[in-house]
Amino acid sequence: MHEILIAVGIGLWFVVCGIISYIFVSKTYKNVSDKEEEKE
Amino acid sequence: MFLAGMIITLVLYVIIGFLVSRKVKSADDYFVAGRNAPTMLITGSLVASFIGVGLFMGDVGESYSGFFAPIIVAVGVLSVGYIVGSIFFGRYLRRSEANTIPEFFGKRFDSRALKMLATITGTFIMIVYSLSCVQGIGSLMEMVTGLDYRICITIAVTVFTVITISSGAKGVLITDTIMYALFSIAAIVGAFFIASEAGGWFSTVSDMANYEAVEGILSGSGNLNYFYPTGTENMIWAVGYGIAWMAVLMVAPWQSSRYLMAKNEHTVIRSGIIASASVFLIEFLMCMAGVFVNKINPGMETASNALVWASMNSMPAFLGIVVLSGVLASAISSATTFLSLVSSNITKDIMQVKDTKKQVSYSRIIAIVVSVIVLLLCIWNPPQIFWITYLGATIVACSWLPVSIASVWSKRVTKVGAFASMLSGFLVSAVMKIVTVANNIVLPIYFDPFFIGITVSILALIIGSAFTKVTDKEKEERAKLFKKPEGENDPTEIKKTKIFVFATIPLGIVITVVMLVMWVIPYLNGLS
Repeated sequence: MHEILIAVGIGLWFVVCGIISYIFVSKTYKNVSDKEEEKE
Repeated sequence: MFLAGMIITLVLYVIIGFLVSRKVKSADDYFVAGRNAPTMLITGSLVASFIGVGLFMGDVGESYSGFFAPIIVAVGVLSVGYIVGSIFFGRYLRRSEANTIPEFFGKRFDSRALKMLATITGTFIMIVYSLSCVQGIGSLMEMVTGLDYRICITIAVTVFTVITISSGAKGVLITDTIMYALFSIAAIVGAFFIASEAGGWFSTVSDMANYEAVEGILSGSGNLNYFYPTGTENMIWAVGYGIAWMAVLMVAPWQSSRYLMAKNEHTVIRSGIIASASVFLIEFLMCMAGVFVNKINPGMETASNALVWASMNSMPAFLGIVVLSGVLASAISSATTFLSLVSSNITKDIMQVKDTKKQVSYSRIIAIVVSVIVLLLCIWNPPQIFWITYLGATIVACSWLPVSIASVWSKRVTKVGAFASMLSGFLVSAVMKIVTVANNIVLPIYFDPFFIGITVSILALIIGSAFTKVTDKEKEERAKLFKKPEGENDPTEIKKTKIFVFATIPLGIVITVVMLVMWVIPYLNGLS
């Protein structure tokens, strides 16, 4: 069972860090994306 | 044949170094590769500077000895360091337009003392790492060629010194990337070949579930006769080791300095994400290979030679040479980065040479002097690859991590807090680590130098900053880090970068599936 926990835990660690990073990066470039949408 | 293969490999690296040196036209090219490196070169250099004999000999040896699960947990934790480090530290570092990391700290906190401390601690850590690299190369070459250890390390030091002084940072980026490609191929092909020699990947994993020569070699708790006696302690060690190494990937000078050479912030983020996936894949395959070698040849006296033995004895000669050249490449690529950084840090931050032509010549002379010192220390010090490498990771985490993160994300941190944090983290972790390693002391896991060192460093940061005020200059320097350069606003580039960052979410799912299919399911089938 420990082995399953390790495999799932490592994957989740990537997923959580990925979600936080994506939210942060999207926020950083939000103004630029908004301006582009306005132009369109 | 192996001797000829290694000589040809080393000569090829020197030739590549000389060819690249023709492209070095200015001091900027020599020190920061003209700040124009694309994603591929930054990724190559990040991974090549990190992966070395510590993985191909150290981690493979640990897995051979039954420590697969704790090592893979640590690898899972640390790999994410590239993603977090590039997004939350690396791109702000690049915005500072500093030439070296100590220069960044000096500017950010308006403190020459902090800049000097960062240079001294960084140089110490990188020399420690260079020692482990050179010792690893020496052990590898001695085993493969049969030449005397001292002759082997003299050849290795000569090769990486020539590459570094001839081509500078630009050359290091290019040779690192070539070596990254070589050792990645070597790791993938080598792991599957060793698995087939052991009896096939899946059936070997199932067989190893009830392996008697090393109990629990593939179990989630690890071999309980190897290091700590319980699975819980092994996992706490693994998470602590993973965080220490994650700090290395996030802020260590030989990692984050690569971002100073990137073409733009998008390059920083994308290379961090590719590097993260590459490191996990290579580590997973190599650690599994270490376990498989145990089935082919149990009871090796020196576990760290497992992969080298397999390359020489259970692979066709050509493939063996490719794998060994890959291991050699990984060590030399790390050493070139360390040497290039140590010499530029000393020239720019300690000697403070202003003239750009003199900077390059002085840096080359310092590189030669440092190489001679490293060579003499290696001749004097017996090989002890794994623990020397761990010493460096602990010190980086304790001395640099809190200051680096706070330099970007804290409004309240002051130069006094930053200085106290870096100094106390460095001293506590270095002294504890050296005393425990020298006297062969195994402390209870909760008193590991990493946990004590990082706690002291964070406390020093908080207390030092609480009793002093942030100056206007410090506020101004921090504000500059949050001004996004105009050139970063290309919508196509932003879209691409967002796709890269989003890809880390499915990457996590893929990692889980790969581990379940290639390790957990066949292992549990073998148990039942």
